[in-house]
Amino acid sequence: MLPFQIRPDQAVQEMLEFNQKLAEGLKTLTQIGHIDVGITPREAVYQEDKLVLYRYRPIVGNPSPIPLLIVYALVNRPYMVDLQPDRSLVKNLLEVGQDVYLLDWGYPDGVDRYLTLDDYINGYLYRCVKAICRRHTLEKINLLGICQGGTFSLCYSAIYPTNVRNLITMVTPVDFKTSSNLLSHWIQQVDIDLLVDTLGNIPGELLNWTFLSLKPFRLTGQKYLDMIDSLGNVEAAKNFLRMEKWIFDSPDQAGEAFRQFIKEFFQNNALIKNKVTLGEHRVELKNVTMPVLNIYATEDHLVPAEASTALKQYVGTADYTEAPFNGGHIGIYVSRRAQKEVPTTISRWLEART
Amino acid sequence: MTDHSTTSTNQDWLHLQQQYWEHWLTLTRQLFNLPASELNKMSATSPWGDALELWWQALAPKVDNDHHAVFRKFIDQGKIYFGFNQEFLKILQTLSDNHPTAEQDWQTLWESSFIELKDHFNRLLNDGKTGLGFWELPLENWQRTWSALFNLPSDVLQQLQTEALTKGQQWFSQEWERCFSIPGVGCLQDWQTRYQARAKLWLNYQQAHEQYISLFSKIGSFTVDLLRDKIVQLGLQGQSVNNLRATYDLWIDCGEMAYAKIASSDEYREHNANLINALMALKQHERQLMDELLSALNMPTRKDFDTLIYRLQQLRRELRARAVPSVPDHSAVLAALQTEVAALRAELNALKTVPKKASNRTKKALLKETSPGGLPTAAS
Repeated sequence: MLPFQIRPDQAVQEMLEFNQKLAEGLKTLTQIGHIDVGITPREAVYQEDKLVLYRYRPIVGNPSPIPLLIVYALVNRPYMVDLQPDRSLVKNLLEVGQDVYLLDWGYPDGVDRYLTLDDYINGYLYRCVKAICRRHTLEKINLLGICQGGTFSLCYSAIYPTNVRNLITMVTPVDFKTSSNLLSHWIQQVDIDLLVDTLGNIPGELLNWTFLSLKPFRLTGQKYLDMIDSLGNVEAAKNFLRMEKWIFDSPDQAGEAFRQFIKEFFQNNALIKNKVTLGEHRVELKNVTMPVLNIYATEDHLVPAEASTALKQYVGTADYTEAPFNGGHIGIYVSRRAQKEVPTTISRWLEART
Repeated sequence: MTDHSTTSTNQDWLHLQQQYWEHWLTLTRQLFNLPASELNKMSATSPWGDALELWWQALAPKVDNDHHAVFRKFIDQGKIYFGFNQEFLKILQTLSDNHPTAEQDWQTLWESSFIELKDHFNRLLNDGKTGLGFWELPLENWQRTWSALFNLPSDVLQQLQTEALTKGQQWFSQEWERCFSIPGVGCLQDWQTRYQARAKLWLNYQQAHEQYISLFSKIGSFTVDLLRDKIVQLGLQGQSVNNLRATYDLWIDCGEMAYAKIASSDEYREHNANLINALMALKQHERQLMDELLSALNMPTRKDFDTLIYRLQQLRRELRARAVPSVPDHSAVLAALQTEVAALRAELNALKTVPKKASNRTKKALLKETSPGGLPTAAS
């Protein structure tokens, strides 16, 4: 049997329908104005350089007495955790009674070129935690680190274990040299010193190129054709545009911090070897003695599951929990299932330890 | 054998395209209330991708600026999709024109069509010409990044690269290398040497780019192989693909599979790194040239700014260290002390619960037993 049963008239009809959808989509786009992201009410409670620490307005009568600080990555923008009302990790955490803070690193520019990981972790992050502790008259708070922010939170928790009551890591790389880590595979032979010395800050475009190169045909091609099918629907189009905005909203990376992160973490895999030094502090994961919840995505193409689950071999805590999410690196924030599963998992785990 | 039927099929096909285009124009006019004159100039265009482009050019002014970029992507992908469909329909046409009867017939035809398709893609890639947009997605992606890093429009670079790639045979590169190695003379020899070095770095980058592109030729061939296998498998299982979109999706699946395999190879890692390293070496050299020029004009250079920013950052650290005296981290000591205080509290509570009648001797004994580390207390 011939495996293709497509007649010319049928093909033309299909193309006509495609163009019809495209035209309708164009009409939809002319009706959509500005796209809003980061919708949950919040106030800035601490600012330093380009960093802003936000507190979200609690929406339950008695929120948890221990605040939860979300530490996002330097790569991309943190509004991914509060993209829109029905896709918001923040909103869902507030609904289950958490008192949520978010650290927004901002957009580094030329003046920030010499910021190091020491400045980010022992400086900015340290002072944000202190600011929250002061506001609540507490000695320690809960940390939720996401992706690279998870790695930062681990470093912070290893250096200042007495400041962290519970640590949650989400899609966080720990072992940077697992076999399926394509990013790590590619970066091994890149001359990072030459890159940083030449560019200073690393442009967001370069990072975008790298991330899109992980699945180029799907992410730069098929995705748009798929969307044309639903472009007639205003809400679907808005959702798509929000995601597009987030994907291409990539801050430049402070040069020295980038150099250190790629060389130490990706090329030398120094975190699991206890060889990362930040300022005067050596990061030893065995000092992570507080309870740890490690949430990872089983289909993560950016941070493979095994890069995250390696954590259990290295932390010093006796209270370590793993929570797999059946999805990918982005789906863990925005998929419909994630909206229910992830905040509930975090909340239950925290309640048992508060 | 097939002259009559091919002619007939082609006529049908052209007729259908004409009908399609008329429908399309009517639809566009209705949707956007455009006057007929706006679109009449496009009606003579027959290739679908070009028609889509013209359509977009006529309508783009009506789209909000915020959404221009994203809709441009839709249009580009639409064109790629049409290009893909046209290539594929050619294969289907060949198959149907040859009227395969037995199972073996279509498989043989299928194989030969795929060999032709593979050759076609390889030719396009080797010639550096625009082929199916599908292959150009990762390359275009790099092209855009390249432009962002150099602050030049990507089209400019596209032209430069195409030319260099077309002429960039081994002999060509060697000749240029020789040329760039001529020793400089006279009072400007230093500058001559620098510009020769720049030209060599440019050549290095071109070679790295060429190597990178060669990998996509491999990915292309591998994709076609995977697609052929999948389709043969479908045919043997008595299944069929019934629409163009399903064919395209199958194609993307195969492309990603082929890409994943090659991108995880050591060869890809090396070429990818060479591409970035070669570009950075070129850019760094250009920056140094620019700095020297600025310096000669007594203007601030990038190096000056870097030094300033570095010193500023150092000063900020020093200031902060003075404002908040940096003490060594006492977290571990603090944790030990907290444990000890807790133990002492427990001990105190235990002492409080001892009945008042108990003799001092008993109390002292209890105190000794519960003291941390068995240290003697002041009472003993």
